[in-house]
Amino acid sequence: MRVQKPGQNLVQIDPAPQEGEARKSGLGQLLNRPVDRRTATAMVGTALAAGVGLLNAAFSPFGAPEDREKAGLAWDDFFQGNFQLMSEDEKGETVHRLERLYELETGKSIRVSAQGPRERVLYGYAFNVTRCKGYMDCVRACIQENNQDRASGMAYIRIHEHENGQMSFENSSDTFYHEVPAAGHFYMGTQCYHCQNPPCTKVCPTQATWMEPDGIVVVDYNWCIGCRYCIAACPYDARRFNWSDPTVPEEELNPNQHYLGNRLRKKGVVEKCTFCIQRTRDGKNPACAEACPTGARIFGNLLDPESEIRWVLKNKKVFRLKEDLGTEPKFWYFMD
Amino acid sequence: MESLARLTLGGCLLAFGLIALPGCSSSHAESGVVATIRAEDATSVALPDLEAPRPSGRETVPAEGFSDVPPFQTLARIPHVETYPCSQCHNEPLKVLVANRPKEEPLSHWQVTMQHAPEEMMSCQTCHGAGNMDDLEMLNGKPASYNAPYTLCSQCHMTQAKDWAGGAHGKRLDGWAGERVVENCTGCHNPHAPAFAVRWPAQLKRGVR
Repeated sequence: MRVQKPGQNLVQIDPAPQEGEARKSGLGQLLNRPVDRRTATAMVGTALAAGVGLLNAAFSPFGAPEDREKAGLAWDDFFQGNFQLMSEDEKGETVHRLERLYELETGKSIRVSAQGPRERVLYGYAFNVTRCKGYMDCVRACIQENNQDRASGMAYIRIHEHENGQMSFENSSDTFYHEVPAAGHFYMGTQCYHCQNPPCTKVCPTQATWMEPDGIVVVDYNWCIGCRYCIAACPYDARRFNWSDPTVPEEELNPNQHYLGNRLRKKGVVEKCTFCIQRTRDGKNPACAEACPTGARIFGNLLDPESEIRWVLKNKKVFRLKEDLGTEPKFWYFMD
Repeated sequence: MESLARLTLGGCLLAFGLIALPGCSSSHAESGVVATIRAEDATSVALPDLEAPRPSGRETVPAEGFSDVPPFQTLARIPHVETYPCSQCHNEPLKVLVANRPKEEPLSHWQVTMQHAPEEMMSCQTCHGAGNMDDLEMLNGKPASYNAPYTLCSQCHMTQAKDWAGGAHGKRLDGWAGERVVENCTGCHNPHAPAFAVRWPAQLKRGVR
């Protein structure tokens, strides 16, 4: 079981790999674990049903070598282990497989990273309610950076147009389209708050979502089974579900990807804001913060006492949404 | 002349009534003037391209005068002012230039419209002194570099300046890690019309999630 107390940063996964014990491959993870007979039968049955087609294609003497390679990669993809349990080598193999599969399918190359968290870094975000003008440059940048499905109009960020004097999300629109800022209104962006005590990760039956040591709540899209418990558990409506195969125009595809971030998703998996993990672990700002023309979005390292985010927390009056739930969002709002 | 008087404030007429040359205007929106161009003037004066992209090879300068925050850098502004130094044109005392100005020529800074503070509060000379043209002029008469407009702006906008130095106002460039580089005041605000524009959102959002 996962042990995760409020304020605890590190995620414990069971079975935790012991010192000296070799990490197991994806198939090894699946097969070499103690299960009762009934579970084992069910697992083997499922694997056989899914694997027969792949095996047939992978080892068939007929067909082009590329088709055989593709089928082989798809076989490995199907039995891929949970990202949290992978060794560095396995992570490398996994992202290379994604790059190669994309190349085989489209003839074009992408770069998928599995870069881990930085030492002594915990990401936090502050949003200046006074400065936001509702321009939605952040929404646009986020969709493009994170290869979000264009057909369904999915967006991680919502900008709410509140009437002055109140902050009721029931009475405000996040689909406004008129000249902004509208007189008598203020704007407030919501997205995943990367709670330090996230309810969404606790309900996941496959441990496909967890909080990284640098505080980013991520999803392993390969392990997500689409049950959407996490969507129900999130008090902030921060998660999105792919009801159909996501589509991104090839010329708009962002080729700089991260395994836990903006790599291409499939139908039937949940996704969410990752603080642009592919950018922030490189030292860049998330796409939303970079795109904001008013400087309403502030991102930084909560563990660095000299960071901008720490200055905001120390010097401005800040608040978080639904603080009483104890979710400890790492996303604060403030006013000038 | 009626339209000219509407364009420029009384102070400008005296201080900047000069020969018909493009004024000290920036090459992009950082000090982008709010242009009200009359067709007959547009033929005689070459206006700087306000939409031109920021030149590559960005120059930064340390922000000075903020002792209670860690040191940080801000973008230099002088490299972006196309006609800097101003003394290229303003090479004679203003009084002489005004006296010698041919009456039929438009003012050199006629395309600048002030939408800052009320007219009775601010004129061109609040920030641009008539003496040393190559620097901005503080309220106490001391010069402020064009690279450090924050010293000038902070005379009135002191809370914004404090927030800017700390990180709650303004925009950080280059990401969260490494040296802190932030936009200068004029990187986001046109000093002659500092309010943000009313415009359409960048994204059409639907009700679908």
